[in-house]
Amino acid sequence: MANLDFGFRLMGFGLAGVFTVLILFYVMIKVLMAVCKEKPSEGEN
Amino acid sequence: MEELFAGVIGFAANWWQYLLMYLIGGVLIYLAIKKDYEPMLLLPIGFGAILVNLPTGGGETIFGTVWEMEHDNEIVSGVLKLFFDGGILTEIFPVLIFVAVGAMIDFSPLLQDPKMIFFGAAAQFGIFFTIIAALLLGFDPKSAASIGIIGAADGPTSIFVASRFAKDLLAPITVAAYSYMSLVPVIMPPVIKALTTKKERMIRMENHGKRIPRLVLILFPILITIISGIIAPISVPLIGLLMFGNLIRECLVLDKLSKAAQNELASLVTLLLGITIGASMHYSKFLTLQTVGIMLLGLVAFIFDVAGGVLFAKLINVFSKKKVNPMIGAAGISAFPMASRIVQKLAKEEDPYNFILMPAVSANVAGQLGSVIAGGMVLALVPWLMKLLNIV
Repeated sequence: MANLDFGFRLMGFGLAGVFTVLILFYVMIKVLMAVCKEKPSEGEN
Repeated sequence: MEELFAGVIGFAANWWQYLLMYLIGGVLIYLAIKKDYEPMLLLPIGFGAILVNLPTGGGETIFGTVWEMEHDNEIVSGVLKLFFDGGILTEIFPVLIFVAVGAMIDFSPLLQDPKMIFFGAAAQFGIFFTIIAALLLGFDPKSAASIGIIGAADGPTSIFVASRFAKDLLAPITVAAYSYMSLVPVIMPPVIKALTTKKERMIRMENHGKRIPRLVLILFPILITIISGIIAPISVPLIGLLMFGNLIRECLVLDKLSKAAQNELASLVTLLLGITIGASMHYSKFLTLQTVGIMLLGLVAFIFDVAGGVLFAKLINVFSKKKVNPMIGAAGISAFPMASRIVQKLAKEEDPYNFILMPAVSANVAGQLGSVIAGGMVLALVPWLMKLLNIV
């Protein structure tokens, strides 16, 4: 029973942890793309 | 005299176990050559399994195995055990594989469509579901966690976690991980079809073709490493080296190194990794009920990964106006690029003009990150929870 409790807690914390880290990556990508916007080269509209 | 016939005597004593292991090795070699299933790994694993099951009668003899042999009344390590101790137990092989994988991955599709990153998290559900299933089957928490990581669909991560938590189960876990990765084309379609309707599979998606600035491609691996290092430090050997490989690729000034990592390093380490894992498959450790359980649980892990990804995509569709093809969720597993190709193939089966390869690749690349992070989470959480719940 203790092992099962362990399993469910691991699932909860584990999935929450993976989502949290990937949310941070998402925010980081959004910020990076906003900051490093490529200037249109000459001749492009 | 006995020493001369040590091989024959050893074989006669355990003939059916040896024959069964030759058969298992033969099947792996057959799958590699005839079916082209992960040949770079399954062939060395299969041959390694045969090598380590060549009989010895003990004693100082030329029949000593590649694993261990007796010499001057002392047990000394054979060549493949030296590789195992030096390359796998030290985690050098899986980490070097990550450098190679990082150099192979183009993260542009994910940077073009970053929301796909969440599918890389959802498709890790199978890992945690399988851990619970393994606990129910009586495996101890560390072994269960190592078995669950088969669901990362990522060989090096499986090896990395198992080498820390369950060294004795390393061989069956690795064989299961790589076998099911090669069987992704067989496992994924029925699970996807069971969970989606034809109408859902026909949903079309936008392809983002925007160019990613070079600075972003360079900063991405550096920032990912820093964030992972702060949030999940234990995952750094994996994600850090994966990102190092990617930086070599994207900096565009180390072309020679990038190509070496993608080709020579990947080939050499894969070869050594495969034959060493195969050589850890001695019948006395491999022919057990545990191995059967691990193989079954590995399949469960893959099925629930795919299901987790698909159901997450369907959940998003409940709240979102812009519908996502739920098959994209299945591409969130780490098996790259196979998972995304299968999703595209299934989409084409329903509608020949539906091109969802790019979003599928984005999710697939996210799966690479998700699986490594999941591995890091498991490594960090298992000892902490065991302590918290007083589990010995």
